[in-house]
Order: sequence, then structure tokens, then C-alpha cells
Amino acid sequence: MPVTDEQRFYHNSEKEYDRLHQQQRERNAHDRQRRRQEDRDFDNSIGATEDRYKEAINNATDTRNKRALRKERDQVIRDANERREKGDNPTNRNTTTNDDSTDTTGSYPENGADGSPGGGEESGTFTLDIVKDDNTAGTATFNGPGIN
Amino acid sequence: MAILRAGPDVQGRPVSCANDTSSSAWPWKYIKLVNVGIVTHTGCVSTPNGDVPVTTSTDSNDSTVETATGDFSISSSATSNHGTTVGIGFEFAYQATQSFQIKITYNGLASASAGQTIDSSSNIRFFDSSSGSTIAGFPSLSGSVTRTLPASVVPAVYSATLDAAVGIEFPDDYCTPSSGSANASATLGIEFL
Repeated sequence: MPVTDEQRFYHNSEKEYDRLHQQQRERNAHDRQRRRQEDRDFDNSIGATEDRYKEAINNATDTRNKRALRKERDQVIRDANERREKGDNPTNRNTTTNDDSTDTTGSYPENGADGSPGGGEESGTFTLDIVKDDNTAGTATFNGPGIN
Repeated sequence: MAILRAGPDVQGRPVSCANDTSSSAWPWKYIKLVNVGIVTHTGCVSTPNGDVPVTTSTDSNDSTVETATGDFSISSSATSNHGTTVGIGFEFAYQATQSFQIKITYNGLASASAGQTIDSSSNIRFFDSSSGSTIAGFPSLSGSVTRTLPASVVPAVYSATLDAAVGIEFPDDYCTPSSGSANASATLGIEFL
């Protein structure tokens, strides 16, 4: 039995659904990778700080100085951790990492270049072409992931 | 209620937005068809049964995707010394939230140089997918049809063609290439109402 236009349309819609979900998954994977890299960078930075203080403490001959250096070291690390925690708060992030979440800085690269579906400028939105009620071409902007 | 765009292509056809040719974001596109066939009488070949005329044929079949920014037309013409066929047409897929109308004007013309006998198989025919029937005439065919294309959530296809074919008989002397001419021309005009 030949495939009808309607069947083909819905088949293409399913593929578009899959494609958009795949994009979302890729963006979230990218976010997770970036955060892991940030964690590694932070750990390396703290480690370097500890090494520098360790060397300074070893070189200090006076006990009072050693104690002061240890206190200073601890304070530097505490401050760094506090800054990290503030920056790490999800409310301060531009993206979330939940697979079901919205990429709030995301944009659809295929949209907007030719003035057609123009997502990307506003956070958490994407735009699709539509035929409006009066038969003119228009766009519809959706909030959130759009497809559930 | 608005409907989402399918495509941009469905079954090899661009999908257009109803009759809206003003959108830069969604250009109105159609497939333009131009087919020209030429049969040229070049002389003869001798056989046990006598001389037999010899012809050569060339065909060109062009199919291109065009963008319309309003009403548009397609035309073509050709000439040969024996047989000429000109076929033009267009087709497009569309989605529409409500029905809309288009008017197709067709104009076909066939002619031969003085003294030539036109072959009986010559004809001019207009066909469109809405009617599913052919309008024929000769040596000229002109007229127009207005079609109401129904609303369609999924891409629907409309097409129209106009063919003009004319042939002239071989000269009495098969071995001398015909000095006559067979001319065919065809024009389709598409108007968005």
C-alpha cells in the first residue's frame, strides 16, 4: 500500500520530535561536561594554592609564621569555596543540567539565519513556521522545551 | 487555528504557504517544468523498398524549483523542420488553513510555414490536477480556469501543464531536408486571487 502524504507528514513530525530531543540531550551533555571541567579546574586551583602554602610553611623558620601561614591558607581556601558555592547555585547558572530541563541560553542554530524560525534571542524559547488563520505565513514561539 | 509548517520539502516538492507570496521567511516555491522536443528531418536512407526519410531527435527536460513573489508565468517556444513539442507546467505543494483561489490562464499556439501539411497527430492540450481532465484544441488553445484549492493541514499538491505539439509531413523528396517549419509555443499564467 503506498504511503500517503498524511502518513509521510506524521512520520516527518516524529523525526522532528526525535531530532529536537536529541538536540536537548546533546546540550545537556555539553553542560555536564563543561561543569565537570569547571570542577577539575577548581580542584587544580585549590591544589596549587595548597602547594604554594605548603612550600612557604616549610620554608618558614618561625613557628608563629608557620601558624600564620596555615591560618592564611585556610582562609584563602574557605573564601575560594564560598565563591565557588555562590557561583555554583543553579539560580546563578545560565543552564541547567536536568535532562528534562530547558536550556535557558539555548538557541536552534538552524533558525533565524534567513529570518525564518528565529529562536535563540530570548531564553528558553523556540520558533516554528506556521500558516496563520488568514493563510499568511507566520511564526509561533514556544516557551520551554516545547515538546513533552 | 494556525497549522505548523511541514517540510520544507515533501516528496521532493517544496511546501508553500497557501497563496502567500510575500513572506521572506517562508518563500513561496513551485517546480517549473519545461520540456522541448525537436525532430529534425535530415535526409534519407536507401532501402530495398526505396528511400526512407531520416530524422534526428533532441529532447530537453528541465525541472527547476522557482520562487514566486506574486503572480507568475511560464512560457516556451520552439521550431523545427519536422516535429516540435513544447510542454510547460508547474506544480506545488501547499498547506492552508482555509481554501483559496488561483486562476490559470493557458495559451498554446501551433503553426507551420506556408505550403506545409500539418500532421494529424498535432494537438494542444491543457491539463490540471483539480479537474483531472484535458482541454484540447488546435491550432490554438487559450482560456483560463479558476480553481479553489481546499484547506489542507498536510501538504496538498496542485499541478497544471500545457502541451503544444505540431508536425509537418515530409517533403515529396525524402532525401532533401525539409525546408518547412513547425512552430509551437505555450504560455501559462498563474494568478493568485
